[in-house]
Amino acid sequence: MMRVNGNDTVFFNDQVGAACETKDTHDKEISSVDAGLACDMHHVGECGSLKAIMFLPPLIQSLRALRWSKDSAVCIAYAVFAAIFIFLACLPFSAAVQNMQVRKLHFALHPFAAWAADQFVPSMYNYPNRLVISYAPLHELDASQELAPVRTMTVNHYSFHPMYLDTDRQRLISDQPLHLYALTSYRGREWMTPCVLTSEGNVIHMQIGTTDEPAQR
Amino acid sequence: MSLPSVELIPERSIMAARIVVALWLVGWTSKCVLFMEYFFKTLVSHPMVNDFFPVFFRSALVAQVAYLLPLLALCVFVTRRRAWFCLAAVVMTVSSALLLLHQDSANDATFETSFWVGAWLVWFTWSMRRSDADFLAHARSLALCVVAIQFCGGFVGKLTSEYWSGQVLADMFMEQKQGLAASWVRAHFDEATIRIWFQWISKCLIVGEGALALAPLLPYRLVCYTGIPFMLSFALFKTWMIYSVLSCLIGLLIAGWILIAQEVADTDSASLRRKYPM
Repeated sequence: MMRVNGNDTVFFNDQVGAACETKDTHDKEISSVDAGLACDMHHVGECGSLKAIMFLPPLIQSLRALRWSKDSAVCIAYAVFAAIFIFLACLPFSAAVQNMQVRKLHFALHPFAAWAADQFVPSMYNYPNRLVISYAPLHELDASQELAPVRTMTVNHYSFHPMYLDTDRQRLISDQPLHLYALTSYRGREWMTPCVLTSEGNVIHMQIGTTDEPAQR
Repeated sequence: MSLPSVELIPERSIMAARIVVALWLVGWTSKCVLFMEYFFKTLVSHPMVNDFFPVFFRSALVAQVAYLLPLLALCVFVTRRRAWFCLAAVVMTVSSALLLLHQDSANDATFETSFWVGAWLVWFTWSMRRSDADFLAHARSLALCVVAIQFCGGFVGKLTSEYWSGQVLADMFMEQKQGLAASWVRAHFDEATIRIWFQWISKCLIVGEGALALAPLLPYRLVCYTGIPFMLSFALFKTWMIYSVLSCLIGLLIAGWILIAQEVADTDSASLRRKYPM
């Protein structure tokens, strides 16, 4: 407790303060101290014991505390985390979730708002990702492998990574279109998103096609 | 005589917030040589036009401003006012969100972890005058939830035969020639041996990420003792730039640790008051 601006009494603990805030009279201050201690005792008994602090999982402590004081911001945060956990837990089993997550990394999840919302779902360095780079479309290469050299690389995090966060974009500028194929596989399924890079002067145009239906291996 | 208005914020809450901001900024700026050249030179000299993105999220200016704006958060090291802490947290979170949605920086995990840590900081700084046990329990629990969803995303995405066998990590290790121990390892061991090692490294990585995905259900100190060394070890077989992604999460764990110390101190004093009532 501390006296500020002569009159107001302010407490460290907002909850205690809200319950016990007083103005300047000595008696009221004493009563507020009693109330504050009572509140502290409640907290100590519920989740503030040393044993609980040291060994009880924080989530359990926090959920117990929510029983006594409904903190709406914390409740919303738990709802968001629970939704993300459920969504991620479905990934190994749900084709729809897999499609969403892979298309997000291929910039092929439409509309943009859906992609933007999915960006906040963590997907840290996962899936085997590859990028195929060629000067001719792959279907033409199948007929004649000598059309152009093809480079395939394993890519960290997401297939189009080499196009971004690289200061050497000069290498992407070419007289002829550059055909890229983002390949991602996950638990027996494989997605391929074609992309064509063309350049006008120093401006690079990236045209991303439709992701192929996942082929069952 | 009236005293100037003073905000009463517990010292450890200030320290916890400052540690989060400091390690967040370490991660944010750890790739600054790359990002400064990329955002200020490459995007201007060789702009990319991807019609998937709205014009706003293709603008180089947006990326530049969003990258530099969080430097305003340095103000929290010279002030103790809650408003400045809140402002810093909001700026950090919004900047992360902008870069996460920007064409030229989307999908970079740096901005994704930064966003979630920033969001935690917004909540924490908003209520940082509180020091009750409930608040501290929520702070630690939400911090672990942030850490857990990051590793849950990584964990489920790696549940594939290619990752479990170590093939993906070994390919990246051999192709990218990165990692703190990479050159030494390559100089002393042949590729076949390295690939056998990666079978086990990859399994350890997946199990470790799975364990951290359960962090909110584990005692806080156990998560700190195991999680922080686990994250620090990432750079041994990946690039050191991985710290741009992980340092903000490490900061979050350390902040929660500091809050435990505060709660222990508060509990001690509460026990004394119970023993010797007024």
